[in-house]
Amino acid sequence: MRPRLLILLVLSVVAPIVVLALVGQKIVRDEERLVREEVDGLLAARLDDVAENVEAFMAARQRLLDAATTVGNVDAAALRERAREAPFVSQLFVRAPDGSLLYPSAAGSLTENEMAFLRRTEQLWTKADSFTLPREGAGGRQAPGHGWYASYWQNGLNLIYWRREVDGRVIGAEVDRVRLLADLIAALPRSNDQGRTRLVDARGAVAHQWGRYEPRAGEVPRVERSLQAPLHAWRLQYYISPRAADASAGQSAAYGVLIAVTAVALALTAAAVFIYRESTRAIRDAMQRVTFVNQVSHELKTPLTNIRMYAELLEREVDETSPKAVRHLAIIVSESQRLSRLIGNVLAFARQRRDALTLHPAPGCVDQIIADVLAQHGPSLEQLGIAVNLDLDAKATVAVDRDALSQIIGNLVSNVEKYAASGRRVGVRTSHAGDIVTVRVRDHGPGIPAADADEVFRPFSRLQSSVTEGVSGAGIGLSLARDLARLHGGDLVLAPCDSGACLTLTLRAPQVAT
Amino acid sequence: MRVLVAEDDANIRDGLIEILADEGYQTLAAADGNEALALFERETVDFLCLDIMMPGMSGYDVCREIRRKNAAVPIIFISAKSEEIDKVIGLELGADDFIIKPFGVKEVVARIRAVSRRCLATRAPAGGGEKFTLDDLDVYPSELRARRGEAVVDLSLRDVRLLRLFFDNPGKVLDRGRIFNVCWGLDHVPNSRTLDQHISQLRKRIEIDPKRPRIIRTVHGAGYRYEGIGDS
Repeated sequence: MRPRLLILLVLSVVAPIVVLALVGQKIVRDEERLVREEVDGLLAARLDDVAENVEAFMAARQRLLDAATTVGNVDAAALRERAREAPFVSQLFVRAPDGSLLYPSAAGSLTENEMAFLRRTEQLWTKADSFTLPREGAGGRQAPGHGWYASYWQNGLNLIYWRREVDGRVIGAEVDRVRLLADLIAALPRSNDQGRTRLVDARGAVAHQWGRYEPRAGEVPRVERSLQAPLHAWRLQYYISPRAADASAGQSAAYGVLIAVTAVALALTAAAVFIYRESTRAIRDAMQRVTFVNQVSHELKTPLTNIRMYAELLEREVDETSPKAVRHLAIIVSESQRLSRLIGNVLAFARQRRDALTLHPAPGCVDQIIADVLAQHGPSLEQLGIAVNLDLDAKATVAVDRDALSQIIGNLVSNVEKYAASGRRVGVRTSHAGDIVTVRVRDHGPGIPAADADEVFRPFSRLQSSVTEGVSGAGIGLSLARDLARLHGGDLVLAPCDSGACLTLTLRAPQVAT
Repeated sequence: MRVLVAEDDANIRDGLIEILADEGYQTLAAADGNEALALFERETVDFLCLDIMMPGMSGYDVCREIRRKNAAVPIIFISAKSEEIDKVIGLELGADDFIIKPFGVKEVVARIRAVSRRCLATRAPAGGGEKFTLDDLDVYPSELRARRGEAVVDLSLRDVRLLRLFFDNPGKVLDRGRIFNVCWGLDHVPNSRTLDQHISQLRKRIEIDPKRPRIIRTVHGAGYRYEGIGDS
């Protein structure tokens, strides 16, 4: 795998998904907040409806109290009778304009209920402004009006409704709180919704509640509001399960974001995989070709090894007095060596295409290497009647890649055998100057036109002529030879000459101390 | 010296065995990596020739296992794998040399002799460790070489044994049987043609004029003799 491309593709997939997820998360949170506010509004409206019911009830109760406190003369018996007829009244009272209590009066006989009333309301009679409305000043003649007086008695709310008449008398009624609460509860709406509504008194005790949901201990109500006077110390609270309240809100948005992120992630991943595969296709195809070349070469090498090895072993044993056998064997050996060189050329060419060709210079003698190569070609040169003229002057030990030089010289001599045999001779001259070794291979065949000087070095190129017609060859020998020469710090060029072809090989081969 | 050859191709294996035997080595043969490892553990082996692509255990794996037990035994890889990385892997695993197929017999012989020299440098060879001289030829057994002035001649183990035998018996006629027993081993089936060919090839390398030999002279109908004049 190519690490850089892989990292880039992973980042291209992961980064947008992360950004999308973050944006999606914000969207979901905003959506949840909006829905929560909407739900709270709806629940608050629900409590407003209940509060309206309570206010309507209190207004109706006030009307009844108005009627109950409309009296003429102060007659204790009549007032007692009036109170008995009104079950929502626990006690009536009449106060004189001077503040004295006309009924129930301590001057007359009092019932137990009246005595208890006086005890409960003791403070009421001592305060000068008990029955004044907020906007009125204390003292002086006050205009007719009505109001409520709330107090607490024995852990309960005590409500007193009063009316001030034109003559200044204040007539009031203490509300029966048990009856009030019972009637109030009866007036509240009944619903079996998924939440829980509570009517909570001033102490925090639940006066009444309804709904399916059971709040946990210590749970805070989702919404609450206070009632209006005289029940302004009471509150309405609404509880609801958080899941029920928020599930639908955020869930749909969360699912939507999840689906979108998943879809984008899948699309990006598919795109990244496609891009990666396409970009590495060329590499995979090239590797397949290389593997094929190597595999085929390996399969060829095994039988070739046997042919060459046994031919050379046989050469040792053949009777030198049988020249025919010696010659036949020499041909087998020579041809197997030629086949070895061909396979070597193919492999080197394949490596060169992969930029995998490397050289390993080691101490060696250029003249000796060339002599060895010519010795290998000896039988074939002799068979073709090609004489070899040697002028070798590169005897120093230098740093040279033996295999590369052997392959170059082998390819040049093979070309002489194939295309210049008609010249009947080949000259090989070596020289050494500084770090450069020069090898000139000159044949006396038909030669190579100057116009084709570059063409002959192109891979798979074979000049079309009567010379090359019918001659086998893949056209990679000179291309490979020049590539090897250049790898070795030199070059292989076609030099001008009077007749035939002259190829000049230069190699960078520094002298090595021996 | 005993050489273990591990090669799955029977023909190549037999050919290598023949080359090594001609050189004077005792040989062991294995057809795959597992057999090679088993033989190495069971027998005394002086060096190994390993193919790389073998069934079961590869040559690389065999080398790795052997190196765990013995860091010094020379190993030569003989393989068709010719990529640069193949050679690097082989040498990194501790091999002493890497011969690429197809190879020439001379190339294999030269490489094996080079490895043998390194082996012999650490111990006395079959022909004795110190230099001896036959006529004007100085023989260096541990180097598997002979020198005459500036000229250097590469020798096989068997060549060294032969020359040592003649050096130890100056003036005596050595019959073929004795030469075979000493230089080829008691279990070898004697073939006078083999001996004659070997002597002929050796003369080409050590005699100034092989047609008029001075060191190894033929005693017709009897055997061979070294006159022993001027030796040390």
